[in-house]
Amino acid sequence: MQSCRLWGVGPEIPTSWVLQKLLRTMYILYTLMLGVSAFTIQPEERTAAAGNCRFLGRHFKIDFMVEGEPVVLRCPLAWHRSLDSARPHVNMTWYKNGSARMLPGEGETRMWVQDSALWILPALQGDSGTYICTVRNASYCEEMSTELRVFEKTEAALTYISYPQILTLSTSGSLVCPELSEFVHDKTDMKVQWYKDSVLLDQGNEKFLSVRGTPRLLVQNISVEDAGYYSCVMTLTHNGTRFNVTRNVELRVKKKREETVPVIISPLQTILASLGSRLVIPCKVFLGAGTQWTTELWWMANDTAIDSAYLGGRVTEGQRQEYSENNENYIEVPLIFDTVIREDLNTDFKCVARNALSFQTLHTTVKEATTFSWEIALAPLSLVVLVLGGIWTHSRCKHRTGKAYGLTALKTGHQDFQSYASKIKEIK
Amino acid sequence: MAKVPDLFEDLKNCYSENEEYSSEIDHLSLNQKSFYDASYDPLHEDCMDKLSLSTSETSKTSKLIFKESVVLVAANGKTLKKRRLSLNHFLTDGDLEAIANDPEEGIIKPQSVAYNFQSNVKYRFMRIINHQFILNDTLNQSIIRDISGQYLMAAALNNLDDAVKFDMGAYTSEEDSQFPVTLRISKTQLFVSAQNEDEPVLLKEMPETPKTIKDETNLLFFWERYGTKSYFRSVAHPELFIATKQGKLVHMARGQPSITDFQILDN
Repeated sequence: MQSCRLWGVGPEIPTSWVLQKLLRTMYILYTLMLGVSAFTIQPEERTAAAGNCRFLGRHFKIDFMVEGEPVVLRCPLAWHRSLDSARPHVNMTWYKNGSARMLPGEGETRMWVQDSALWILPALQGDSGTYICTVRNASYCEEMSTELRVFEKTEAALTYISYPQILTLSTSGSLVCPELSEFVHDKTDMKVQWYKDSVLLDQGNEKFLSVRGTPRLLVQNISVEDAGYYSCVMTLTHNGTRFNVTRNVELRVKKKREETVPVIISPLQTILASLGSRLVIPCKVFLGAGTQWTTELWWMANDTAIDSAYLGGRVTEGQRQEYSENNENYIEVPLIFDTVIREDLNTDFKCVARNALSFQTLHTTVKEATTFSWEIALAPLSLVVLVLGGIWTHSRCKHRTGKAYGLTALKTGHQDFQSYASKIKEIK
Repeated sequence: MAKVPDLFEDLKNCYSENEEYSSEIDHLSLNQKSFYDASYDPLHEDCMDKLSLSTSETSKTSKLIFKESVVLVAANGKTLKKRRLSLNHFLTDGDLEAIANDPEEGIIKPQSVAYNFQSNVKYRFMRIINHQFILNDTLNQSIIRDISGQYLMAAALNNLDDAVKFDMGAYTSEEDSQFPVTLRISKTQLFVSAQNEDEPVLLKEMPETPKTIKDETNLLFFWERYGTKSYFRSVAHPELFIATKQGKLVHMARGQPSITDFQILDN
């Protein structure tokens, strides 16, 4: 604990008598306000000063343990304050919720405090509950609660007490026996035995390899069948008695997300557009079976981002679309022109696709679609001329044959005048 | 099989004083990038003898574990070393002698990648590419927030719902080969901010997701991937990675003994 003597108060410091008196008065007031108990921790009873402690709430992590095994409750505040219990000016105490008595109690052989952690060996189901650790020195007092649940060693408890660990299908990976640091002094001498469904995974196993001196179990070529519950066991000797430290790991197997080289399949190198019209140029990327989320797709104009190149928003990038066709993945990002202007014809537009494997670009230019050309204008005109010419030629031919027929009728005189007149009229 | 770790046991004493032998870190993991990134000095002569002796002794009984191509590539892309190890293939004494005497088998100091970091590089926000994912280190510890809420730490969890969920924001720059990202705690405006070596990363509150980043490169990390492992290299300090270590907050480190490789677990 910190000394109660205030630095700077004493005959060796040449300060005025008034200043000394003032400092002494301040010190006395300070002591009265805090109460002596803030400076000295009572060994047994939880003092009134504990009420002055700032309660920081319950730690989110619940310790799920199995009865008959050692339990080490870490004080969450020890982390926060980077505590070292050897420091004399910081004191740490443990209490069980609802009890004013400090832990370990008198004559308690199963509990002790070591390096700011509360050890319980062996743990019993009755030890379940909320534990409060208090950290204090002359200037502050804080406390936080942590929860312990001790289960009977049954299959039903597995879902609570196991640590989920995720490995990827068709790869090799390792499971790690968690939270053993308190029980391991010589890390190279760590002996961990691994079990799957209560069957020991021995050294002759080619699928699993327990790596000596580490908390790891190497798993080769992970398959869906490897998923499930594993347990790792380490032995601890305390006062001549051997205890098992068991941790349960739930292996979950996830599918590997394939990544492929993106292939830009559109747009074409030149896009025809009429000046003043609206235009949409889609950039489409083919990924095959590859995942879409890691591939970025964007447009650039003269090597400048679209939103920077067109601050007015005349040209914008449309929304990204991700879709699949026949189990093959695509991404599409359109480039949208509100109105095409002449300036766009001299701009180098570039679609860019990027992921971890590759960086692809495709350039495209906008070309003016000729709105009036003589070839286009003359085509229907020449057609009209041809049609009219055809009609005129046809009528000329018919006129000639009609005249010849009329003359024949007059010569022979076989027809009366009326019929002749009608024929003439017809030819005309 | 059981004798393979003995080889590592014998070699422990051959590490120079500044190379900590820690079984917590995955020295055996062939896919840990930081294993290749570390600069190792050549082993002492007696250690080389010990290596060849130990391997010779165990060669007849030891099956190789990994069926994997081990390729070491220099920064310029030149392949420095390539070897295929196949499952159940027995190494003969002849193989071991050849490896021991091959001058090509010397330990190579990889060149560090040359990064070009002028302050005028602009990083433009693209989109949030991954929502609500969890980061796990190679000890299968998840990233959580410490009780102050200011820092991050790693812990083994019974319930992955207790882990911090991150959103990954993708950025682009003129640098084609990089993949700059931000890491933001989901449903907050707290961004992971890199600090100096061995210093804990900070959680920086931003009013909104930065549309462009020019000076505040502490918020940006180059996302590098090797197989199923992900690394987050600081854009501000390109020699440093986001790292975990037992008894330490999540911090910035060059590599071992800190753990710099992570697994991204999608929701």
